[in-house]
Amino acid sequence: MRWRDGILRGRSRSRSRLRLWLAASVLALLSVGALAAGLITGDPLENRLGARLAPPGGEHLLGTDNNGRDVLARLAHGARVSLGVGAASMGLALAIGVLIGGVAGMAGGWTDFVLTRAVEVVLCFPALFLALGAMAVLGPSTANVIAVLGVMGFPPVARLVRAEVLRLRHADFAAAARASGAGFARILVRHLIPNAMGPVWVLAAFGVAGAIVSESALSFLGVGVQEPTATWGQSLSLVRSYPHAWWLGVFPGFALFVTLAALNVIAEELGSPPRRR
Amino acid sequence: MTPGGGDGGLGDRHGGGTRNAIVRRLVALPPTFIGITLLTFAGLHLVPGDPIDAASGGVAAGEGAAARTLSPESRAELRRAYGLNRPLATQYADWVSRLVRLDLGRSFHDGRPVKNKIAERLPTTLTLTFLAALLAYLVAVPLGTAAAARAGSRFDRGLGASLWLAAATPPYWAASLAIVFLGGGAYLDWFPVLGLASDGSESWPLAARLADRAWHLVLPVGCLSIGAVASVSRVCRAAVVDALAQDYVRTARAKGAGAARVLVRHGLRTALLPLVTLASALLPSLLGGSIVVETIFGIPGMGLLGYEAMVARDYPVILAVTSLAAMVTMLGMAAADVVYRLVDPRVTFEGTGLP
Repeated sequence: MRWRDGILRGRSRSRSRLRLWLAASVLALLSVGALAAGLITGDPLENRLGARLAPPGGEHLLGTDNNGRDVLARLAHGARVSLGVGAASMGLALAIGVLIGGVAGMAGGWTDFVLTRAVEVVLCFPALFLALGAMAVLGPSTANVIAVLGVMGFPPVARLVRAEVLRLRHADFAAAARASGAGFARILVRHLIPNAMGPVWVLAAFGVAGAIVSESALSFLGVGVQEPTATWGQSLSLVRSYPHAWWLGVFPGFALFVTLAALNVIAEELGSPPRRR
Repeated sequence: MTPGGGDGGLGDRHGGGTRNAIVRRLVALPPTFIGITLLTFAGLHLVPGDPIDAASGGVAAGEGAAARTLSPESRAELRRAYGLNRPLATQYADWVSRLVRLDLGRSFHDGRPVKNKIAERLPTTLTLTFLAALLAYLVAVPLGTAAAARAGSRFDRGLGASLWLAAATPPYWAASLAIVFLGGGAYLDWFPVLGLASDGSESWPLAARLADRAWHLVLPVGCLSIGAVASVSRVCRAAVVDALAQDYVRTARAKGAGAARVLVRHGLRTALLPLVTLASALLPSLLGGSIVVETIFGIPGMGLLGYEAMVARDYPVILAVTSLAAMVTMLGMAAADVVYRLVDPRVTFEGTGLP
């Protein structure tokens, strides 16, 4: 059987797909857990003043935080914020990036120059500096976090789409479309962008991971998604005030780590051609 | 000069082409600078309300809250003092002309010139960033080269797996774990986790002070460099593997060059180019990471300054820190491009969209 050959030979297509499927299952499990968090775990907001900073075990599998809130429940509900904000902001980044990159690559000349400068300007801001400044002006809220991370995430998408459009612009199928009378917008939207999207999805998988890191960093610093909403970053940040509560340092970060590792695997597997010996 | 060393000397390859390409790259700087200032300025001034409203209670809190903290007269006076009653274009031109002269205004918070506050903090952040980048390259280049030399071996795969783990570890998780397990939280108490110097260390002899400083820097620099180690090793490995597959490497092997010589002179040297470019991509991510690391470890740098200013809604400081960070990155990226072009004359700057 082919899959068994693949596994025995060690580095072939089957194995590579196995990694992909494993990572996808981890993400699917996390998403289901996030959606069904209310059914699986208790209330993430319930304060138990008698059980503050309880270590893992017994009634609270992963312990409690400084307000006696169940860490497991907060992590399960926090997955909603992390995955939701990651996906939503990357969706926004894709929309902006494909539009700007596509138009820049297709139009060329001064339009290209101006749009490319605009992309470079955003790229110049170290992610967290821009996010902090924007959150200071806009005020911290979930919608603002998504908007800010979406705007911050678009430059790499725009660059890639522009490069792909430049490459495909003179391909035969584009020339054929032009010859049959298709206009600027039609060639771009119907012919060039669909063909340019392959590498963009790889970037998007990395981008979701990046957005999740930024969201958690903002929540960690207390300027992202606000209390009492449960977020991984907020749970993790408590370890600064209660350094002996090791479970606050370990578990939220581990949830983040598993998500990022799975997303990185998916991005890499999508990006690399199937391995052959 | 040894035969096959490929050391043509840089000087004789610098024709007018190189100069033109570099000039064209530098011509792109002023528009980018204007873009950066426009974006920061627009971000601050085009949102509902103005800095005075926001600083005195926040737009979200509504007029009532703002009115409670400041009377309309004093708010109008503040607006005049900060020039907020003039047309936006005038304000922008004024702000940029002061920015160019490094006159960054005064902090809303304590009234001190923002320039002084930044001048105190910038060296700390640059040191932290530089040390983290240095550590990353010192660790990652040998690792990546060694992995490339044994591509496909157990060592290579093990390293790949570890780098994958490192790449998925955000600096703030690394820092939290360090505090819990190495910084006196729940386990070992090996490293200090607050500030850059021990109490009373001002009176120590110089050597002791330096050792103390290094001791305090171990965890921050380590946490900051984790992601960089992962990306530098990967790029280095991929580039060396690429180089080793080239014809000139086969030639070098055929003429009897030793393994180490082939690896370093022919493999690693070609890999230096992508590593130079990578440095410019690392700069913004290290600067961004410095916010979190400085905040966690209480290190008085630009990141902590920006964070404190953001919490206190100290707009002049936010504006200065954000635009400065962007300009440092802009210059860093341009410098990397220019170095790249000097080293490899085949490089064009097509990606920059210059007409």
